[in-house]
Amino acid sequence: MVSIYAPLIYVAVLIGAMYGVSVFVRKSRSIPNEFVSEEWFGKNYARSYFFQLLQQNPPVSDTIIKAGLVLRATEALRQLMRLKSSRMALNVLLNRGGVGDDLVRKFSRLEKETELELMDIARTANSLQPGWNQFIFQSCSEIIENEKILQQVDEIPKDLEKISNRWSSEKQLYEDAENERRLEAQKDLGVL
Amino acid sequence: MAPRTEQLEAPQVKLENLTEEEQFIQEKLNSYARSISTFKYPFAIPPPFPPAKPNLALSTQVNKMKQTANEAFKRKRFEEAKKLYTLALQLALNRCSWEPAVLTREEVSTMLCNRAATELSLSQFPEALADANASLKIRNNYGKCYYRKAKALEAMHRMDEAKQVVRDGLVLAEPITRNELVSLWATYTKEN
Repeated sequence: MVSIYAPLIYVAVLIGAMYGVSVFVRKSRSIPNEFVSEEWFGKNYARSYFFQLLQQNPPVSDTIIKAGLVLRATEALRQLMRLKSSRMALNVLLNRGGVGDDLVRKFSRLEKETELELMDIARTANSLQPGWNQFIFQSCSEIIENEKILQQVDEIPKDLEKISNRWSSEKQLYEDAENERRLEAQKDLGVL
Repeated sequence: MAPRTEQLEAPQVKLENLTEEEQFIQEKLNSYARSISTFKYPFAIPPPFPPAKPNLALSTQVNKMKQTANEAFKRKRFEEAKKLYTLALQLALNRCSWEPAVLTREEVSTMLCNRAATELSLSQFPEALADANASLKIRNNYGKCYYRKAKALEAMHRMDEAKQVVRDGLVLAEPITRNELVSLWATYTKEN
């Protein structure tokens, strides 16, 4: 005997399933945080530190705020440079069809956010010192270049270790080969 | 009296409840604020460099050290020359981050290259190769450095790599020192 609730249960399960699926899809598609695109680069500590500085309650001196702004701007410039180099790679992938739409959308949102951040920094710089926005980014790019040079010099000891390990292992072989040659030459002379 | 108060003027900041990365940023900010305040820029801002002049005093000091080290090298006092080149390198690296990176690049790569030359004369081949590598990474088109690197590789019996380095050096934007490389190339091809 077929129950009278069977069609009702069927309809209820159907609607429940469709509702569940729609909630799930909506949640996975909507972008939860504001700055999730910033999660591409990892948390931007320079920026959060700068905002903490601004909120300090005996307010910090001007010099410190300007220094904090320079650090924030350096970080933003570094992100911009990384984005520019990744953009080329993304274009190639897009042409070859290896990348989906989602990534492209995320990437353009990332670019937009970086642009807005830079404009915000320029505006803050101008408010701290009129006319500063013209050359803050120039100073920041010089800072980035100098830091790269310092990093190269710091890597010398590691390089040195690798090379001396290789050389110490090869040196023994060469010395042995030389000694053998010398012995043979001596033997020839001795024989002669 | 006056020097005392000027020393106390360098503003520092210390916030509470910071993560490790934020503490790192705070230290960078403190050192940055200290170096800016020693220069007494009008608004505690690193100036734009085409109007302002970079720290020429530092450049002249580095050049003087380089000349004394060159003298020591000519008189075959290699240990002393190496020490002097290292000192000059430290001086050149102490330049402030916001000054034009071009100057730092030139000075640092020249010092590293000359130090490689002294190490070659002292038969410290791994050190010479490490220095030459770093110098090339900092400045791509430095001809003398390719020459020194090739000599170091040759001394460690890595002939193929040495020939590749000479070939690279002849191609990659060489200002003036191609002659040494050309003669080196001639000796390599004659050996065959």
